[in-house]
Amino acid sequence: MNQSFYLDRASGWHALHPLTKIAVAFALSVTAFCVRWDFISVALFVFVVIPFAVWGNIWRPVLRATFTVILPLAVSLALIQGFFFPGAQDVLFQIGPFALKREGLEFAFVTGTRLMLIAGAGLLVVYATHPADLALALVQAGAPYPLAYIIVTAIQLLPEMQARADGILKAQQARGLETTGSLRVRVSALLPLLAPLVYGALENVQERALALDARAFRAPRAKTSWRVLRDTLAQRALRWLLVMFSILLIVASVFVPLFIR
Amino acid sequence: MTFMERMQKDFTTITLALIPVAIVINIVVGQVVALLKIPVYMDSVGTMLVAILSGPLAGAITGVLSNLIWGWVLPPPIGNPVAAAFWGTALVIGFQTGLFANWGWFKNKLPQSQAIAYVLGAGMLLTLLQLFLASPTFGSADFTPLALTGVVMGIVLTVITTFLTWRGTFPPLIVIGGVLLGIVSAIISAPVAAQVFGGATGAGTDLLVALFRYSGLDPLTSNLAQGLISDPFDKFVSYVAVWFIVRGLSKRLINQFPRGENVTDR
Amino acid sequence: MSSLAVEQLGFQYVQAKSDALRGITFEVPSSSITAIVGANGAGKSTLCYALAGFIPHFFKGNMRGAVRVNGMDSKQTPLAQLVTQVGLAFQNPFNQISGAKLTVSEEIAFGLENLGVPRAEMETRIARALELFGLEQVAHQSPYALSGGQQQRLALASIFVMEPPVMVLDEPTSQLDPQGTREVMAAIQTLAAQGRTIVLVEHKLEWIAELATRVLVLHHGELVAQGAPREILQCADEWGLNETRYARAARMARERGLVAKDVLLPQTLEQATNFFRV
Repeated sequence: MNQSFYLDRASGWHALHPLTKIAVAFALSVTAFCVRWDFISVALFVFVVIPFAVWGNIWRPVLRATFTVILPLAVSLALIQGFFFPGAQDVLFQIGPFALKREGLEFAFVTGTRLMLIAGAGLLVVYATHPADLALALVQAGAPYPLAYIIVTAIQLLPEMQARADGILKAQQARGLETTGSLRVRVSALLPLLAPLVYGALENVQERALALDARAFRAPRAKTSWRVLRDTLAQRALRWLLVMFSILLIVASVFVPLFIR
Repeated sequence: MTFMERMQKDFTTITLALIPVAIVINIVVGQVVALLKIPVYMDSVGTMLVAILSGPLAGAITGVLSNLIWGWVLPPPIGNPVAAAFWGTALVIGFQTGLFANWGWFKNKLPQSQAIAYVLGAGMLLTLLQLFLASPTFGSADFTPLALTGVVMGIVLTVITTFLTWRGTFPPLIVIGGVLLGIVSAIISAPVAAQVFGGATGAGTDLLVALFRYSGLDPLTSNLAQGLISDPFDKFVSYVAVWFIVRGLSKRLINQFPRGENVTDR
Repeated sequence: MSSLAVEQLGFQYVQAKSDALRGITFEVPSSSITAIVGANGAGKSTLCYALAGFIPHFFKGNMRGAVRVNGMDSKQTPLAQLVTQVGLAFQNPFNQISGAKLTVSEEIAFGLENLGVPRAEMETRIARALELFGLEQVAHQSPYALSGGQQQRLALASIFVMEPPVMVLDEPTSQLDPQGTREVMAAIQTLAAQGRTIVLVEHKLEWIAELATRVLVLHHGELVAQGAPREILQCADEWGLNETRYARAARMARERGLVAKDVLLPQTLEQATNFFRV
């Protein structure tokens, strides 16, 4: 069973502390939002995200996933903004009553590439960080202890539940349940599909809670960890620098008009 | 009761065990609905479940975590960074549903005549809202087909829910709750969609946004109008679904949750 | 010396129409295997929850009487402290996996992490648990990739590693095949041999006759009999239990006048061998 989307590769990027990777992604996103230059996101994507992805030997999945997310959004964005951008004057060409305008396309480009950068930066972290390490890092950074449980359990439950959903769908279809056709037919297919799925998931909740309590999950004392995260002074310094840089950029973009987008 | 005491009372181990399950329910139910090409999102059923059984705070936290995990921890095609930006909407869905449940809106206890009056009122409010949104008063272009669709949907829904209320199938106040929550979540989502995503989210609802933009509305209002059309239906349908789910759980299990009395009569 | 003392214990689940347990009094001596038997719905699981402190700390309802764990009143002691005294494992191995961990070793470590055990100490304790429950080979696998018998042994190991003097096991083999059952029963025997006090709920009376030092019979929420396995299991069918195949064979032999009437029915292979030698 596939428990997470983590890709186990022996790379320097993988070996970094999760918070370091998150700090890189955060700083990239902040820069894309604060710097007023139309090509900032593309530049960051090409000169930072892609090299990091190559370093982590995960460039293929990062690129594939980024474009899966961004493509429908980009098309939608280009159409909505290209044709209906408020105050746009510069008509590129006319289709019937609709005029495609330059200002709209520019806005769509900036927004679209910015989202592409944020998606890429996030995926860079997700593909190269073991979910248990991510959760542990968050807890060690001061997040509530149960957060680690919630994140890791949700990731582990998802593939199991999707497999169940798939099984229920096939079983009900084999019994003659119609899942295509008119809206009425499809709506009435909803209950036979969802009921077994949801009840199956919920009936285990009480026993899971029992099992957690039996393992002193709520013991009100300092927890220790079997997993060990490697951290270095250099990484700590780098994280601190990245966060300071991001904060400065945000402040600057508020006060210096040059940065405002 | 102080905030900390409330947290301790609501965040029992069984609540914590429910939250990851609820997050997965949000995702998988959303996927099944999309698979069946039913034109609603239904991506908060798990959040609503937590809100009803464990209170508004637990609901709000489930909503936020759900969207953050959906957006940032799971890669595509399941994960979608678009979801992460709407964490505020998810928070309100969880919190507000918890409040409704605390007020007893998920119990069936109104006298029939009053219940029918409430449901008729909510249905008419919804229909009028659709009429208003698709009318030249609000926009500027003539939207006869859109107005007609919205109004027909509103009327059909009103008739169905009134009939079901008359039969006593589900508590009438969840209709009102669904419509109210839909309006609130549309108001919260609109600025995010307009500011962060330039009005597009890559979903089918973008077509509605384009239509409003074509009529000359500004980006924020277009997204708001789209939300006000999509969300009340979505939240109402989700409420009915979540109510049926809760009703099917054993009383013994429901009573183990901190707010079990929200749905059972003690 | 007794590890667990139960006095006039009664419990009614919230909104339930009747009591799940009524007037139960018994003691569990240290370093013994005490078996609890009874038909479905007799209150066995409820009793386990009360012994381990989940009643009154987890399940809502009305508890009467008292459970004392090594002298501590379970009502006055927080659950997180009780679980270090009484460990609880139950039927479904799958649901006992915390879900928060990705390997068998980490899963075993979970309880120790929660108790704040230093990592250096964890290492030796986890190694011992892996060895005792035969899980060394799968230590780095996902808990979800194990067989049912392995998962249940993992559940036992995860409780064992917290070193509670008493372990309450609620039908740990009910969802396992014969091979898995044998694996788990062998592990239980090892635990008892090491001086742990075991309370075992089990349907398979053959195993109880084999392992238990004492048997308690629950019937409709009340304790109706207790004593040595061979005596108590004589009237298994009166309480809606399936008697052992040895007892059934011996009864048939007795009905046909093949053996003397005043001899106790055998419950184990060894007893049966002696029984039919007469």
